[in-house]
Amino acid sequence: MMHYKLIFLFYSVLSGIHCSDSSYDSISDIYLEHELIPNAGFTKRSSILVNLESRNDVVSTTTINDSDIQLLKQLASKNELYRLKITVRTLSGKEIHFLTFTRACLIVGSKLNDILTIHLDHLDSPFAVNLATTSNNCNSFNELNTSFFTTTVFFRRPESSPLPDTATYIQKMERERDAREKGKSSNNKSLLGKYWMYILPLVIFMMIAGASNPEARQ
Amino acid sequence: MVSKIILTVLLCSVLFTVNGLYEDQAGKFDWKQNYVGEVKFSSIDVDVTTKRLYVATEKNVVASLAIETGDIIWRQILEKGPEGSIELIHPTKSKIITVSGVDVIKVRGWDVKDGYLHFEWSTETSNVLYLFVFNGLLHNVYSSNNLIAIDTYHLETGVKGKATYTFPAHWFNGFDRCALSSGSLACFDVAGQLNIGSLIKSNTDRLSLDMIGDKIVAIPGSPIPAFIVTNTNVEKLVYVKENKVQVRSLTTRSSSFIYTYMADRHILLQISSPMQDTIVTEGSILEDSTVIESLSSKESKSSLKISNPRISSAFCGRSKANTVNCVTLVSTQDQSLMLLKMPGSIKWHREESLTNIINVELVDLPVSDIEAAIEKEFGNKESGAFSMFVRRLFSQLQQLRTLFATVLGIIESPSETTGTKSNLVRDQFGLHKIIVAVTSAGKLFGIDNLNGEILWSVLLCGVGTFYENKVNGLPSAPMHLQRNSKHLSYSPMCTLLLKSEDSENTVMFTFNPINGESKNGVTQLPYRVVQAVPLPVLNIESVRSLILFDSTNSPHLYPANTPLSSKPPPMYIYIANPTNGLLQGFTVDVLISGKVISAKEVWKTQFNKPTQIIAIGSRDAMEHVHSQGRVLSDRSVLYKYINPNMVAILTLAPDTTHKSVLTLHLLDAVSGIIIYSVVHKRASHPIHLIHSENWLLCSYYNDKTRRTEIASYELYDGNQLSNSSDFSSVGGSLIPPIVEKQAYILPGFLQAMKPTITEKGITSKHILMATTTGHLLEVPWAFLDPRRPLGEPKEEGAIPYIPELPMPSESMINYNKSLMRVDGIYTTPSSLESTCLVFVYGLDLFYTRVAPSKTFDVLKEDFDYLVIIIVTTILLISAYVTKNLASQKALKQAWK
Repeated sequence: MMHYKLIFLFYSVLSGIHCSDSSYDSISDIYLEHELIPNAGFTKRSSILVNLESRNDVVSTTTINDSDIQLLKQLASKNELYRLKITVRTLSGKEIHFLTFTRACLIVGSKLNDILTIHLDHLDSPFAVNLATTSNNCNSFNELNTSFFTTTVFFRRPESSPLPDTATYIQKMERERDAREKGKSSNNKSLLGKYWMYILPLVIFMMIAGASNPEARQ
Repeated sequence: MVSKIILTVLLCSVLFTVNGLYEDQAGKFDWKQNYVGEVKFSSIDVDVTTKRLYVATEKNVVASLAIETGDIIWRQILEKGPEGSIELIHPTKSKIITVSGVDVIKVRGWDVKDGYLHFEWSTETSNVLYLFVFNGLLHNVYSSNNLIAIDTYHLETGVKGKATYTFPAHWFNGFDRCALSSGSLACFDVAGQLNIGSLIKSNTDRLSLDMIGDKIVAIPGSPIPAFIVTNTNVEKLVYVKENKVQVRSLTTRSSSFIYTYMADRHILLQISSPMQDTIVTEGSILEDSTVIESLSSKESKSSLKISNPRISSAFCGRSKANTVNCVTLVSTQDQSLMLLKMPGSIKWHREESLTNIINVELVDLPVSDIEAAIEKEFGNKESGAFSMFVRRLFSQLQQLRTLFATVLGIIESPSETTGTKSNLVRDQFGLHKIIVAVTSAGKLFGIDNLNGEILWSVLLCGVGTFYENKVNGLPSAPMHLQRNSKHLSYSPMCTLLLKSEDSENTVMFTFNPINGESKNGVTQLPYRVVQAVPLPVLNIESVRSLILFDSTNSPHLYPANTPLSSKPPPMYIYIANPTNGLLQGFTVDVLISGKVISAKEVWKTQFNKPTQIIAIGSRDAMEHVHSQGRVLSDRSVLYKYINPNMVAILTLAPDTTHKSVLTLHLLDAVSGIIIYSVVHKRASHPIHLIHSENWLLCSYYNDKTRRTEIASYELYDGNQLSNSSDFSSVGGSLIPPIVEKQAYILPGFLQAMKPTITEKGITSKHILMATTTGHLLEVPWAFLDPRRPLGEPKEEGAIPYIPELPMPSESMINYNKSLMRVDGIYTTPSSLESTCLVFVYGLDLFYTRVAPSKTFDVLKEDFDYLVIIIVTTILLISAYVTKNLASQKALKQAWK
C-alpha cells in the first residue's frame, strides 16, 4: 500500500514538469556497488540502463550469489550499515559518484526490494541519490528466500517556486467590491423596509407602554 | 462579506497592538550605539567655534565628531560597496569635500556644521591610479595608451581645468613599487633607484636617489612629499624639500606624521605601541632632528588594548608656556579610534571595530554568591547532619556580611564565583546577559546587554586570524559555548576557532565569556578544522566536547582524552564545501573514555559544477516546538513535520535563460535524503533564509518582477503522526512530507531576517526584518503563513491572503532609531517565556527585547500592589470578624 502511494507521489511530481530539450547531457546508466563487509571496500552489485526521455521509473532485478547473501545476513545481524556507491554515467561519458546508505537489516527485511531516488536539478542533471527500502521491517531477516535484488529507480525533479498570487487576489477584491456595491444599493432602497419586522413590534411595544403609563399614574 | 472584512481589520489591529511601544517606554528596554567604522581619512578643525573632527571611513561614512568627547555630531552614509568607497577627503573652510566611487567618481561637498549636502558632481573615469587635490583642483591620475595622463577638475564645480597633460608610462610600475604623496610620485625602478617626480606641473624632471627598498608607502596627509621606505625591517623617511631629496632614519615599528609648523619648519610625530597597553609618542623637528621634549611621552593603561597605532591627522600649536602642544587622531589596527593630546593623555577612544561584528553569542551570567552558597548547601545530599549545619551557619554569616556591606555602602568587592563586579549576576528573569562579540578586526568584546557598556575586550593578534568564507569573501569565526554559567564549580568556557597566523592549521582560543580571561587558552592544532559539532553529552568536567573534523575527514575530540559522563549515541556529521558543491555525511562513534573512532562516510551529494552553496539554514539548537499540530476548522489535527536533523541548503547557479537559479533543498543531514527541492528562477542577492520549527522563509530579489519576494514553506506530516514514538532518520520512510508553499511581496529591501525564539516555544513566532530604510520590522509569522486562505478559511483565525506584506509603523520596534547597514540580527530566549532578547549589529548596535504574545507572564508596570494588599487584608479581617460574630450568634441561639 505504502509502495503504491509512493509511486503515485513521484508520478505527480514528474507529470507536473515537461521534459526539456535533449541538448543537455542525459543519464545513460547507473552502476551500483555495495559494501558487504564493513570497511572492506565495495563490490559490484548491478548496472541499470536508464532512459530519461521515456519518463518512466525503472525496475531492475539482478541475481545475487549465495555468499553475498550470507554476508548481507551477517551485516544485518550485527546491525551494521549497508552502504551503496552509485556511479551515474551520462551519454557523454561523464561519471558522477554518489554514496548512500541504510540499515542492513532493512535491506534483508524487505526481501531485497529497494528504491533508489535520483534527484535531478533544474537542468536535469543528477545531484543526489537516496536509498530506501519498501518495508520498515527490521526483524525477519532469517526468512530471506530470494536471491534477486529488485531495484526501483525513481527520478525526482525540483518543484517550481510559488509566486505572489496577485491576479487571484485582485479578482477577489473586485468580486468583493462588486458584492459590496450591490449590497449597498439594495441596502439603500430598503433600509427601513428590510428590518420592518423588528422595528414594528418595537414601535407597538412602545406605544402600548406609552398608553399604559398615564393610566398607571392616574 | 463586509463582516469578514471587519473581522480581518479587527484581527489585524489586535495583532499589531502587540508590537506597539508607549512613548515613555522608549529607551527603557533598548539602547542604540552609533559608529562610523574604521577611519580611512580624517582632518582636525580646531576653529574655536566648531572644534570638530571630520572622518571618512571604510564603511563609506562621512562624519563629524566632537574633539572634546568623540561623539558623533553628524553622519552621512554613502553608497554601499565599492561605488561609495571614499578615495579622499578635502576640508575647506565651510565644507568637507569627499571624492568617492570607482568607475564613476562622485564629488560631494558637505556642510561642516550639520552635514548637509551642498553640491555634487560626477565624472566617468577608468584605470584611475591616484587622485589628489592641489590648489583647489582635483587631479585624476590615470593610465591611458601607455601614458600616465592627468585630468584636472575644479573641485567645487566639476569644470575641467587646464588641458590634460601626460607623463611617460615607465614612471609608474605598480602600486607596491610606487607611492604618491602631496602630488609627487615616487617609484623604485629596476636599477634600484628611487625616482621622485611631481605630477602637479607638466615638466618631466625627476629627482633620483640610490636606494634599495622592499616597500614604499606615503605618509598620509603630509604637506610635503614624504615616503617611508622599508628595506629588510629598517625604515627610512625620504622627503623632498626645496627640490632636494632628504633621508632620515626612523624609530622602528612606529607610525609617522608630518605637520607644518611655522613657515619653514615641520614637526615629525611618531607613535608606537611596544606593548598592548602602552602607547609611546615622540616629536621632533623634521629638518634638524631636534627632539621636542613636550611631545615625547609614554602612557600605560591596563584597560587599553592597542595594536599598531597610526596617526591619522594632527594639529599642533604653541601654548602659553611656550611649549609645543599637539592633538592627534590615532587609529589602530584593531580599528579603535582615539584622540591623543600631547603632552597629556588619551582624551577619548571609540571602538570602531564593533561595526564589523562577525559572530555574536549572548551568554548567561553566573548566579550571585549568595545563591551559589544556597545551591551548594542543598546541592550535595550525601553529607552528614553536622557538616550541613556548619555550612548553613557559614552561608548565613555570609548573607549577614553582604547585608552589612550593602547597608553601610562598603565598596563592592569582587565576587568569588564570577571574579567580576558583583552586579554582573543572573537576574530572576534571565534578562541580564553578556554579549560576546567577535569582530573582523581581531578583537573580542564582552558587552553588558542592559546598557551597552563594554566590560572587557581581548585582542586576537598573536593568537590567530580568521578563515575566509569562500563564497561571500567574509571572515568566519565559529564560536561554541562549551560550558555555560550553570556549573558552579567551573567557570564558563567559550571556544573560538581561528586560523593560525603562519599556516592553514586551526588554533582553538578558549576564554571565559564573563570576563574575557583566558588561562592557557590557546591550543595550536596540527590540522585544519572544517567542521566542529558539539556532542549531546557533557564530559566529567561539565564541558560540552566538540568533535573536530579535519580536512582529511578524520575526527578529533576537543578537549581530548577527557572521559564523558555517559556514552553518546552514534553521531552523524555533515560537511559542505561551498565552492565545489560537495556535501558529505559521516558517522562517528565516540567512546565514553573520550576517544573517537575514525569516521565512516555514509552519504555523498554532489551539486553540478557552477552551483555554489550560499547558505545552510539549520534550526536553532535551543528551539523547542511546543505544539505538534494545527487544529483545522473540521476539528481534525494537521500534524507538523518536525525533523530535528533537517537542514535547508540554498544553492545558486548561473543560468543562461534565467540569469541565476536559486534552489532550496531540504536535506536530512543524518540519512542524506533530499526531502524536498524547489527552484526559484531569476532570483538574486540579497538572499536570506530562515529555518524554524516546521517552516522556512526564503527572501530574494526577483529580477523579473524587480521586487523582493519572500517564499514561505511549511511542512506537514498529514493527519497522522508518522515516526511518533521515537524519531529516526536512518532507514526512515521516503514518503515526503506535505509541503505548503506561498509567496509574498515585501515592499522594501531586506538586510537581515531572523525569527524570535523563546524558552519553551509556547509564544507565537514573529519575524524580525531589518530593511534598507533603517527599520526593524516585527512581522507576526501568521502573515507569512503559506496556509493563508485565498478563499474560505481552512482554519480558525487564519488571515485571508494578501500578496503584499503590511509594514505598519507600529511594528517598527526601533521606532525613530534608524539602523543602517545591518549585518545580522541575533535572538536568544530569556527565562521569561514571553520575552525574547534581540541584538542587531552592523554599522549601529541596537539591543531590545520583544514579547511576541505580549508579556502574559509578567505583571503590568502600573499594577496596583497597594490596592490588592488592602483588599486582601480587609477580606481577611472581615472573615475573621464575621467568623467570631457568627460563632457568638450561634452560641446565643443555642442558649435560647
